[in-house]
Amino acid sequence: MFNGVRVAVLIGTALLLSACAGQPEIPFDKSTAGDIKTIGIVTMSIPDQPSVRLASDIGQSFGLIGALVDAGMESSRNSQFWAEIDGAHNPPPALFAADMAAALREHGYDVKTIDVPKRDSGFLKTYPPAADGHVDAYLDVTFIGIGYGYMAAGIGKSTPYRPFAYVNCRLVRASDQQVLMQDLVFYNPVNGTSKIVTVTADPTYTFTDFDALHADPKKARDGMDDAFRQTAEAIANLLH
Amino acid sequence: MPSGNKAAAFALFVATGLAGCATAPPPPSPIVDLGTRQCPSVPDLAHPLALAFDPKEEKETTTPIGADTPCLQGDAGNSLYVVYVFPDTSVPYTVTVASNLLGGTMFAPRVVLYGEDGTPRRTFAGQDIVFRGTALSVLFRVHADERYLVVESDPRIVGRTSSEIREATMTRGATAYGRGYAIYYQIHTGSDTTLGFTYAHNGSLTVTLTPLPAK
Repeated sequence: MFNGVRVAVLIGTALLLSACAGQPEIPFDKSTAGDIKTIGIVTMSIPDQPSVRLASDIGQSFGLIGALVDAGMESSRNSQFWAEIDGAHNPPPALFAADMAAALREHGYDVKTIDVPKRDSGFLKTYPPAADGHVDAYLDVTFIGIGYGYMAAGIGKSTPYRPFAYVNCRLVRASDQQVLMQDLVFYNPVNGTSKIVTVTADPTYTFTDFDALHADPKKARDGMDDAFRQTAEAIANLLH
Repeated sequence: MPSGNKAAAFALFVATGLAGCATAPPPPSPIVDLGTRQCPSVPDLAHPLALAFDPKEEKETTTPIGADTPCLQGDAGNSLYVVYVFPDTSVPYTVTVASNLLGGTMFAPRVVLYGEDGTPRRTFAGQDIVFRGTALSVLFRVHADERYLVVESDPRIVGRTSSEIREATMTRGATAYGRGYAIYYQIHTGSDTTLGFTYAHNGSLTVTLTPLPAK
């Protein structure tokens, strides 16, 4: 049953990526956006835990049975990785939120946190009125599919594990809910396209296989943290 | 006359056959020094290239940039440049200026928007320009007072080298044959490649105009 859920997540991720592919990229235009000084970061849609994924492997050649086997193996890798990086005591969502706020401040914005209870994946349908949040615009960041962690394009030493983070983001003006910026930002994408802001992986954090990742959890955690920081900076860079 | 037609037909046949055998030209070597070329200090806006535009779908205009491209003298040195004119339309659209990676050569773009009167209005350079896929690009909307798009090589970064890691997955079909049966299946593989390149005065540019959906 659990594996069935994982397979559904894999399919859901593929559907979500194809849905995002059709969204228009909207560039931020500071001169026409109005006076945007304070940005409210709404509660992000981000998986609680990272995933360690093989983007291609033999199991994919064997239909649903192969997918179930893959899902079981990935679940095992994820549990082991989560324990080794001590994720429970250093929750990645909180770290990314802090990185995002720091990156916006670096670009000269004041930042507030806007709590949105029980948010779903994907962008929010509506945003709080301007007077409620005391902000000029809302930054809505939603991770795509499994969101972040480590990815290897395939099996073998020529396709090592590297950190990844896949984000869809938009800036919405508080006064009239107009979308001022909208884009996809992927750190180390697999099959990146011209519609996605792509941030190349730092070669410092290269792990030839899962055993290598397992052998150095501190470096693995550092790599994920670095991916978060660079992703947040890439988002903030779209708002300068 | 008939023999002339036959000769022409034969020549066409041979040319077509040769074209079929032709391989893609090798990617250009990076031009990192424009030498002693004499260049004007202002771009010539009199003969701009028209940008393809369709109010219903995105359109691309691709331009090669090489040693014979016009040059410009700037504060940081000489550069090669291309001038485009924006379309006359009331339909809102975005502009993507993308420098395409050609082998180990990446045109180092700097984008300046000019008004009808030939004065510069806005400049995109440095951190404005980011990777989208394997192209180095900038995305923006045109203001009412902006008429010309000038894309020039940026001598501040020409000559620098860099690299990008690119990961991809591929799927190919295969068939296994047994006694009296055949099984078709798919093989999934991945690749992890480091692309090294040099920022250059030459390369290839693609400008894409994308109409924004009606609100």
